[in-house]
Amino acid sequence: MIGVFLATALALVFIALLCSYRVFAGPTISDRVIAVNVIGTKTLVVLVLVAYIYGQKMFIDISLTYAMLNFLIIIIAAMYLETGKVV
Amino acid sequence: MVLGILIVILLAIGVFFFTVSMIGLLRLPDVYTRLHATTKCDTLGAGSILLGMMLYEGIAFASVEMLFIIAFILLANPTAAHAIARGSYKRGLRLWEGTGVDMYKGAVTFYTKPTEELVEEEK
Repeated sequence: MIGVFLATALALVFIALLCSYRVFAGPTISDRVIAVNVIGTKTLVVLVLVAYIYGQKMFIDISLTYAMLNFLIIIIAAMYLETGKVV
Repeated sequence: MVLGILIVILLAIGVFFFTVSMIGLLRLPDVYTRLHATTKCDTLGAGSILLGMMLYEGIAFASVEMLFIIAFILLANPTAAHAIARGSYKRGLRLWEGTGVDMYKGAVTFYTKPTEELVEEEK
């Protein structure tokens, strides 16, 4: 079962690598923000898989924190898009 | 044994939806269509993979924690997508010319000058 988790994690990392093309080449800021959101979701799932590959449950806590941090990043970026200011 | 097969099927569904989201992000023509593709597929893929890990763990504290992660993703991902779409519309990014309906038109005051200058500025 560990091998299945490892294969899933590697597939997700490969997909995230392909998604990062949109971060570098996206024509507008919004495309970059969307791509960062997608990569953040993939990172969160990979952290949960890593918790079972290495057998350390601590990574699930890190994943929960990462979900909240990712949401905060996207909301602040959307606020910058809407008003032109960060605060 | 049956549980193992179920877990593998759930993980495969998750990887499939992440792949669809990646293809949509790379191939679709517009900010809004890309947002439409990525948000739904990402939410479903992450939920499916985390559900598979919950089945692998069984009844434990870590399983409840993963349930919290699923609930938070279900709440946060559509909210973030809505915020991005609204922000880019107010910034003046126009829709793709093949788009049929624009129900937001006329209800919004733009923040800056519209798209062409924005894309030029990006280049």
